[in-house]
Amino acid sequence: MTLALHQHGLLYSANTDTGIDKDFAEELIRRSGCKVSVTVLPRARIWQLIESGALDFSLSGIANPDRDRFAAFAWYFSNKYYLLVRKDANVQRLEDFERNAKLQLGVIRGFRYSRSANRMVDRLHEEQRVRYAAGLEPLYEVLMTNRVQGMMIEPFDFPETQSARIREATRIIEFNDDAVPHGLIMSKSSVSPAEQEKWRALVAAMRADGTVLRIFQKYFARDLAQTMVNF
Amino acid sequence: MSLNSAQLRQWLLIGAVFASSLGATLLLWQHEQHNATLDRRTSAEFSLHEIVSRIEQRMLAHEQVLRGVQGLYAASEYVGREEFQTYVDALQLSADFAGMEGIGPLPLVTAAQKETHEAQVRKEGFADYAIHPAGDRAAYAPLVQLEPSVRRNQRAYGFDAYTDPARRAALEQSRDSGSAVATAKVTRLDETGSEVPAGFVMYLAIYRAGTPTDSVAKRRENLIGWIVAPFRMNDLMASLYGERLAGVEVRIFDGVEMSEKSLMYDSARQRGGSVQGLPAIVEYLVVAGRSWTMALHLQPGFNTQAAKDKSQIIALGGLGLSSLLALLTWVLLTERTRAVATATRMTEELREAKNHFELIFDASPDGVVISWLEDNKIIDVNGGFTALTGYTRADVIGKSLLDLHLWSDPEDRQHYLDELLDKGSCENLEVLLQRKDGQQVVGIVSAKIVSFKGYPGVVGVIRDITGRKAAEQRIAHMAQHDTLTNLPNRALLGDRLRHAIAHARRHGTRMALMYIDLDRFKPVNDSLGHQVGDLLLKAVARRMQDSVRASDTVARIGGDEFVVLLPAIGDDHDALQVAEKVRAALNEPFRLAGGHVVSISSSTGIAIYPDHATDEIALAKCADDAMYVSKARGRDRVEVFQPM
Repeated sequence: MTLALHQHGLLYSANTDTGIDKDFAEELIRRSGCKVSVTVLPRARIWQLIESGALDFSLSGIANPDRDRFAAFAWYFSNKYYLLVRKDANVQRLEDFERNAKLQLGVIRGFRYSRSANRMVDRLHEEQRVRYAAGLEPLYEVLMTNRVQGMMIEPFDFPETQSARIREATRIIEFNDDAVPHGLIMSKSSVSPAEQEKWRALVAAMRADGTVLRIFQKYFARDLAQTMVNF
Repeated sequence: MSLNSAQLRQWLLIGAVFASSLGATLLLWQHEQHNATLDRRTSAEFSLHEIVSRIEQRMLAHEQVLRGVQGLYAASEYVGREEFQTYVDALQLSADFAGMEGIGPLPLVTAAQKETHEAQVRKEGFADYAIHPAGDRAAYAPLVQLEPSVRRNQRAYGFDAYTDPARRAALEQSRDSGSAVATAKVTRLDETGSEVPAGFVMYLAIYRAGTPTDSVAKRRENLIGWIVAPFRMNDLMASLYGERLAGVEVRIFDGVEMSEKSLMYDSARQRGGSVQGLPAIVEYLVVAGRSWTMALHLQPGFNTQAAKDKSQIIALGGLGLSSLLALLTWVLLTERTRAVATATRMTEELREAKNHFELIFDASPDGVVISWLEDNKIIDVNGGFTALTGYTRADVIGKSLLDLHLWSDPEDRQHYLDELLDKGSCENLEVLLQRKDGQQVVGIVSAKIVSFKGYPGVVGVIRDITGRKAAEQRIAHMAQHDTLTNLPNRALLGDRLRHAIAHARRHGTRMALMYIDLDRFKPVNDSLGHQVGDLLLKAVARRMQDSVRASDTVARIGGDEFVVLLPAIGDDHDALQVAEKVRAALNEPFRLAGGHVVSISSSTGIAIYPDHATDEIALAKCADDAMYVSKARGRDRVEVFQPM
């Protein structure tokens, strides 16, 4: 079976070959007893492969009506979304960003967010104000060189934003949406409904016995980890 | 030219129609343009994803090749030159892997291992092998092999990648992550000894077989070297491009800065051209741990023709239709105006013509009557007619012209009808008409058959010539009568005498002619004046007329000379009797106006036809002679002509 990780902040970093998703994947694979080969792919590519059935699993996925057609999920955490915005863009509220036609937003291709964040991304896309990237790294770079003035981030991205050069130049604005559940992505083309249930049971067990919380606590402060895992 | 308010309104309306339909066209055109733009963008995004996807997949495939080699080392305690060559040959890297200039091992050589290492390689058949650049360093990453070796410049063997900062950064990143990592852009591939416009080198760390690698520290500790694969960017792109997307040019930059320095690939430049304008889309790739910026330029010829044509058709069609609509509006509006103007003018003319006609019709002193030919019913009459006939319009309209008691003489009526039906008109027909009050009127009738409302009608004109007729009669009378006494004058007498002679001759009867001359009339005239004389003559005439029959004629032929014509007598005695009666009557004193009483006498001569003469001149002479005899014999007496 195949499982793909994507590089994204604390979820997975190829530079260190570590991350929440990697830890979660290893534990899940261990418990399943299955032989699963793990690769690292861009997020957009992952969704394409999940849809085609060429890839069986991925992690930290969120649902939307389109993805529900071809993917099943087993939730194990939820989080909110944030807009990381340059201080010199004079954005106090989310509407300020939308209203200023000069501001460009950086987004990872293939990513979806919470309801109002999605709406903002879609609208800005209509106005040709979205720059896409395959990963976070180039987005931070274009944010710092002022090619984009804002980007969507999640709690996994906080450590990076706390690096001195980014922290000084940016502020974080929270989207006023409910936390969005994230989970194990299963390709409906290659994983049968019965198998999906087994995988869900495994994930549920990992949540129930505190394994998921322990993994998150490795990367986040205790209360944030609890907020993310208990949803 | 100044416009009146109606014209202004008209032009405003036409303008409004034109503007609104043009507005609708503009909306449609904008909508279509917007759609076209969206289509362009969608197409451009599709193209971009297509290219990004190809690059990512190709780079993953290359990584996989490197991982395969990594697997070879993980599985083997020792991988020799030949094993490595055999392995790479077995991969049978096809043209799909063009751009990858080769694969080779890059052992990590510490300062302590350097000499042994160099000796080892020389022993393997590369006598000149030495790590270069020369110099003592803590660690080396020298190239010892690059497969396939056919094309290789073996002088590149020994190149220490650690000496190049770009390569060293990638080497260390790969060492720590265990992932494939590409260098920044390089223009010299030291691994092959060739200069390239743009290239990069990909490394994948190899760890000692069977050792743990689950942390950065352990990876560093167990690193034995790297797999190296230099790439020529243009070849790499050419290999994955497949079918080039029409109208799309791609530029790829190392990092997120788009500059000539960081330019890795330019599809337009590859073909000797150059991209125009700003990129339509920019997207950031992450390839083997490095960020690349991909800029997509849309060039003329990009999938836009259909949408562009459609908007042009809409623009041209809309413009045409708007113009036609405005023209149509103009035609409709002005047509109406023109029609109204024409109708107004015609009505005006008609009204004027009608006024003229009515003026002529009503003002004409002649009676005009319009009637149907078929039943002679009167359609209309004018004031002249009502004045002439005494009938009102109401009396006659709808009545038959023939039924009115207008014709005094039925023959006139028949004559009128015959001529009208025969010739289609009649002219100056003198008729005797009877007014409503019974008075007779002489008229001249002219009539003509005309078409009235598509049916035959008759327009008749009647001129009242009663007055003229009377005048004529009066003139005729004056020509034949003595103005003082109103008795027939010599002319009329002559006429009647001829008739009487002819009649007598025809019938074998006799007639008498008397010449009467007043005695002593001149002294009356001289003493009492002409006026009294005239009064006397009038009184004489009356008494003479009173003394004869109506069929007899009394005429005055001179100052105091009178003639009496008796057209039918039995014998001389009859004539004598009448003469005596006249003489006696004239002998009675005349009591004239002004209190004058005048007594006169008369001398009379009688001539008898055919006894004394058979023609009027001879007969007149006989009567005149006899009258002179009477005068000669003492006046106041009657003498019958006595032939000598």
